This record gives sequence, structure tokens and C-alpha cells, in this order.
Amino acid sequence: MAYVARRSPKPGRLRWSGGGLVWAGAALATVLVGAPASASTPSLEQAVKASYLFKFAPFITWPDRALAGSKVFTICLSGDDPFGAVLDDVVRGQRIARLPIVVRRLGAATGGIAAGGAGRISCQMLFAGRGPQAGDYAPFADLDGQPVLTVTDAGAGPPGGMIRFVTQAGRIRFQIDDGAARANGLVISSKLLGLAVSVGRQ
Amino acid sequence: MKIAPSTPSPISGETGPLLPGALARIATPLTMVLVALCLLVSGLALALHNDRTVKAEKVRQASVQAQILASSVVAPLAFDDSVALQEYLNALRANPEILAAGAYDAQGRFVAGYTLVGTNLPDRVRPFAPVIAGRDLTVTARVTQGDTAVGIVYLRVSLESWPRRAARYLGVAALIIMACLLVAVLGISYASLRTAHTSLREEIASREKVEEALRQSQKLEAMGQLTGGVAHDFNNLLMVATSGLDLMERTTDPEKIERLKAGIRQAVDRGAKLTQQLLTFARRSPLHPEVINLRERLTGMDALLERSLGEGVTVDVHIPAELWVEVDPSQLEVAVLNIALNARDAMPKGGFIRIRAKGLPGSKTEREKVRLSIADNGTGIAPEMLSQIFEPFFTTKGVGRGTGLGLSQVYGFAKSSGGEIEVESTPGEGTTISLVIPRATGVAVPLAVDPAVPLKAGANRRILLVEDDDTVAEMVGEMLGELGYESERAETADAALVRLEEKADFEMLLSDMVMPGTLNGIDLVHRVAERWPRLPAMLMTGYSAAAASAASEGIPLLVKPYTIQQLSAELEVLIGGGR
Repeated sequence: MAYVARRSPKPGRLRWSGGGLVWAGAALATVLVGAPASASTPSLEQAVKASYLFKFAPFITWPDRALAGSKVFTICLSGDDPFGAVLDDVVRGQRIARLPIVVRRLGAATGGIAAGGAGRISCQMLFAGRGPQAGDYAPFADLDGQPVLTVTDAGAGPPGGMIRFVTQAGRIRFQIDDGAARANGLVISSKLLGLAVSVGRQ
Repeated sequence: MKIAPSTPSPISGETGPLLPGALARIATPLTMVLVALCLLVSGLALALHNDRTVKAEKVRQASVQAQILASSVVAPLAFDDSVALQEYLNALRANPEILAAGAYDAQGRFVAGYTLVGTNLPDRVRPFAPVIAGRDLTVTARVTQGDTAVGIVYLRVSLESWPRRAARYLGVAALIIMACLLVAVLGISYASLRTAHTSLREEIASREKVEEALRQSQKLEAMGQLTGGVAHDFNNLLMVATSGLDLMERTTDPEKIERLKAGIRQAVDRGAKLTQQLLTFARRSPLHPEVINLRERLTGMDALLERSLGEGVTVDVHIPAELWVEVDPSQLEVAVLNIALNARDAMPKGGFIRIRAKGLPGSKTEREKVRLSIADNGTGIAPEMLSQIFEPFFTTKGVGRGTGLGLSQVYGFAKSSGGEIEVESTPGEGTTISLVIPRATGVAVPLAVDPAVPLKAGANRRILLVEDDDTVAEMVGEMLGELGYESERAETADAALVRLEEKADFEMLLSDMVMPGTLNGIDLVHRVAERWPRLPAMLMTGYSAAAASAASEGIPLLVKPYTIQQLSAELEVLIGGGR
């Protein structure tokens, strides 16, 4: 996949070259990538990611069916939880789409749960962390067509995901797979797309 | 050259107001100043209102700009992309009015921004309504995505500086000031115009007064000249009469007495003629136009002219036979005589006078006319005097030599007869004065011949004579007695009425016209006609205006002075036929 990036001379108006992906050549917050953090003591990097995880939400438009009947907005974590209490601190008292936010840690459970299957667990956002060593960890299985925003970390965790944290020049940035999001009925604001390191469109 | 009477042209008249009434009353300098002030105040109010509107617009623009900025920086601010954030902010540098722009996070902490020299950005910001401090406008806008507050943007914008605002208003201000000046200048000029107008009218009024005074003094001067001239002539006549009477008393020679009587009569006739002339100049003498044959009439003047003009002047009269005119014959004779006398005076060393006449063909609009010209070869008249020679009392002759009424009579006669006078004169060669008078058709009345004393006998019929002047009353009484009438005198009209009331034993009433008392002659005749309708009345007067009014009422009239023959004839006409 070839990424062609061109900066528009005027910020705020990013032009996309036909079919290619644009590098949003912005250095992200000066967060140095430190050593892999343990679950108990999340690093500054994880704190930023936790904050971003919450901040993505206003730039995403969920289809009505995703929130129909929901009393809460649920952020699910599968696999290892790299954020610990930091994420809970970030979302405490906040609302997304006028709904209070709930963080659910699913462990190594499969995606069927996240999609609101038999376990009646419905997630609007699913962050997939590092899974067990066994090869059957497939957090996004059964999520095709489901309005669930999937987020992964390129440094640790499964491949894929609509938004993927990457580290560039010591700063936390993200790639966006807009095609996958659209396929699942999610609309990502161009503002967010403009800030992404790369945007995948299929 | 034709001389026409100069119609008095009014030098001044009531000049109209400068502006229509109502407008003129309010158009005072004060109102002009008020108008100018109103203009100025409204201009200032307009400017202030405009300034306020511009400020409000500026606030709106700045707020919109902040909103746009907030919307642009939401993602960079949310995800700490300070480079992109700075680029967004720097884009605003293109607008020099933006003095400072900053982005703050959700907690109000400074994230990125820029400032121009001389200003700075606060470290922390909370959202607030637009604030104008001095010439700076500060606005903030919340940066939100959906319902989530992401941060705040802060803009400080410079309002227009005073010089720029002044420059913007300079055009309007100049216009208003010009308008004010214009109104003020108009007011001032109108005021001065009005002052000038007023003073002009005062000037005109005072000039009219002066002219009136001048006319009055000219009149007095003319009166003086006239008095001098006429008094001299009359003194001569009186001298003739007095000396004649004196000599008559001292002689018994009937032949000498007859000669003296003739001299006295001639002097009295001249006196009567002189007063007649005066009245003619004053145009108060009624004319008695008759159709006459010019040749017959003027040929009859030969002897008179030769006697009047004296030795050294040759008179040559040549007039076609069939030229008829309708004029007062005696006035015509006087006019010709006056012209001839002036010609004689212009020829101190003698010369000739040519009297010629010819008919002038008429047209559709004009009657046929006759030109009677009297030419001399005398000294002529200076051109500058031509316009004056017909003015009454204008004379170049010494006091006592002329009254200045001669040519004036000619002018008055010509005008009264519906004609004109033409004068041609070349100094040193002579003068021709022509009378152009309408030609008449018809038959001439035979020349009036004085009746050779065909006195009718009065047969002792009684006449009531009303006359205030004792001498006149005595003389008229004598004449009536001479004619065989009996007369009784009453001094006034009132006395006459009293006498008639006692006993109306008269055949006729003969009354003067102008008398002291409550009634004049005409009133008396009216009263008598009412009370005693069978009593005939006749008036006598020497005043032509009174004569005209009596004639207009058809009252028989004797014009003073009259001869005994005239008196006899008139009485015969009035009461003679009855008995």
C-alpha cells in the first residue's frame, strides 16, 4: 500500500490526493515512548492513549441502531488492560452522545460478546489489547457490519482495528481505516481524518 | 424732429419682496444659523450612529472569525497536535487587525497562539462575552466537538484607529461642513440683500420727496417768471388804459376821445387775449373747433402779421385753395402768430417768413392730414434746446420780453386739435416749425362778424343779477340798463334765494359761478330750476373749468370777459323770443 502525503498550504483544508492516503504530518503530543508498561502502573503513553480513546468519540457518528435503547455508552476493553484506572479517571463524569460512559473489561472474551450477543454485552467502542499467547484470540470476530468502533495499538495487540495507535518520532499518533468504519456504519469526522497519520479507504 | 409729450416715467415703484411672503418672513440669519446647526448636529448623530453600527459589525465579524477558528482547531486541540494548531492560528496573521490569537485546552490552559508586537496572551482563559477595551476588541469561542468541550480560542482584534475612522468620516464631514457654510453664506447674503433692499426703498422714497420738492420749486420759479412777464405786459396795458382815461377827462375833442377809446379798447382786448392764452397753455380753455378753410383764414391774417412783425420781416404766404381743417380758428391764429413772433425774434436783422401748407395723404390707419409750416431764416435753435422750446415758461428772451408761453400755446393747440408739431432747425440757417393737423372735409362756417351793435331793447324786463364782485356787478348792471333791462343785484347765491323767496318777480336769473357762501352758481341754478321752473337762468364765468361743467349740464353760459353785444345776443336768445 502506497501512502502519498501532501500538505495543503492552508491548514484546515487538507486535500486528499486521489485514492492515496495522506500523511497528516503533525507531530503529536510530546509523549516519549517509554518501556512497555505493566498493567498495574500505566505509563504516560498509556495515559495519553486512554485520553485519546475518550476523545475519539465526539468525532465519530454512530448509527442510530448502535445507541438505540442504550442507557450508557460502553467502552469495552478486551485482552490485557493497558490503562488500568487511568481510563476510568478520564471518563469519569463525562458523557458521550449525552450518555454516561461505562468501561467494561472483557478479558480474552471473543467479539461476539462485544457485539451484544447472547451475553447481552453491547459495546460502542472496543479497544483490543494484547491477547493470550494462544492463537484463538480474535476480538473482532463476528463484528463485521456491527457499529462498534474498534481501536488497537500497533505496538501491542492484535492487527486490524478502525483506529490504530502508532508511535512516530516518539509521539503517539494514529492511523484510521475509514473504509472499515464506513463498512460498519460509522462516520468519522474529516477533522479526525485530517489528523491521522494515514487513512485507509477501501 | 417730432416732439411728443414726455410721459412721466416713474423712477421708483413698489418693488416686490425678494422671496414669497411666508418664506421671506422665516428666512432670517437666525434661522439660517439654526438650520446650519441642525445640519451639524444631525451629521454628528449620523456619524456616531454609524460608528456604533460599525463597532457592532466588528464584534460580529470577530465572533464569527473566532467560531471558525474554534471549529478548525478542534481536532488539533483535542489530540495535542500543536504544530497543526499553530498553523491554523498563524493563518490569521494575514489579517493585520488580529493582534493576538490563542488556543486553550478544556481547562483553559494556554496551548498555542501568537501575538503581534505590543500585546500578549493570557495564560488562562475562561469563555466571556466580547469586550471592548480601548481600541482592542477581545472575543472568545468555545471549541467543542459534538457535546464535548475541547477548549477555547481567544482573539484580540484591533478596532479602527482614530485616524482611520476620521479618514472614513472625512468625506461626509467635509460635505456637512460645506453645506453648513453654504447655508450660512446664503443666510448672510440674504440678510445683506434685504438690508440693501430696504435701504434702496428708503433711498427711492427720499428721492421721490426730493423730486417732489424740486418740482414744487420749479413751479414756483416758473410762477415767478410768469408773474414777471405777465405783470409787465399787463402794466403796459394798464398804462394805456389809465393814460387814455386821464386824457379823455382833459379833452372835449370828440375825435380825440374816439381815438383814446379805441386805444383803451385795444389794450383791454390784448389783456383779454393774454389771459385767454394763459388758460390755453394751462389747457383749461375749451376749444371751439370749426371747420375752416386754411387759405381764407391765414390770408386774413396778413395785415395782423405784418403789423406784429414790424419792418424788415417779409411774410410770404402760399396756401393751396382746398385745404380744410377743423380747429379753433382763433387759437390757430394765435398759434401762427406765436410761431411768427418767435421767428421774428430769431431774426434781429430782418429776414423772411414763409408760410406754406400742403395736404398729406392718409392711409388705412391714419387720417389725411395737413402740414402747415412756418419757416424763417433766422439764427436757428441749438439742438440741446430743441426738446425744451415747447415747455411752458421756457424762454431765451429777457424778463419782460417773453412769457415763455408762446410756443407752449402752439404745442397745447396742436395736441388739443389732434395734431403734432415738427421742428427742423439748423443753427445759423433757420428754423421750420410745422403743425400737422387732421384734414377736414365739409363746409366752412362763414367768418363770424361782430354784430354792428344790433342792440335789442330790454323792454324793462327785470333780471336778478348775482355777482360778488362790486365792480363787475356795477358794470354788468350798467350794460343791462343800457340794453333796456331792469336789474337787481344779489351778492351771493344764498342772498339771491332769499330775495326770490320774498317775491319771484324776475324774468330771468344771471349769475356768476364762483362766489362766497354755501352755494355756487350751478347750485343756485339747480335750486331755481326746482323751485321756480319757469324762471330761466344763465351763468357767467371767466374760469374755464367751471364753464366746462356748466356746459356739460346744458346751462346757458356767458364767458367773461364779454362785450355788450354778446350780452345782448345771449339775453335775446334766452328770453327775447318770449315777448
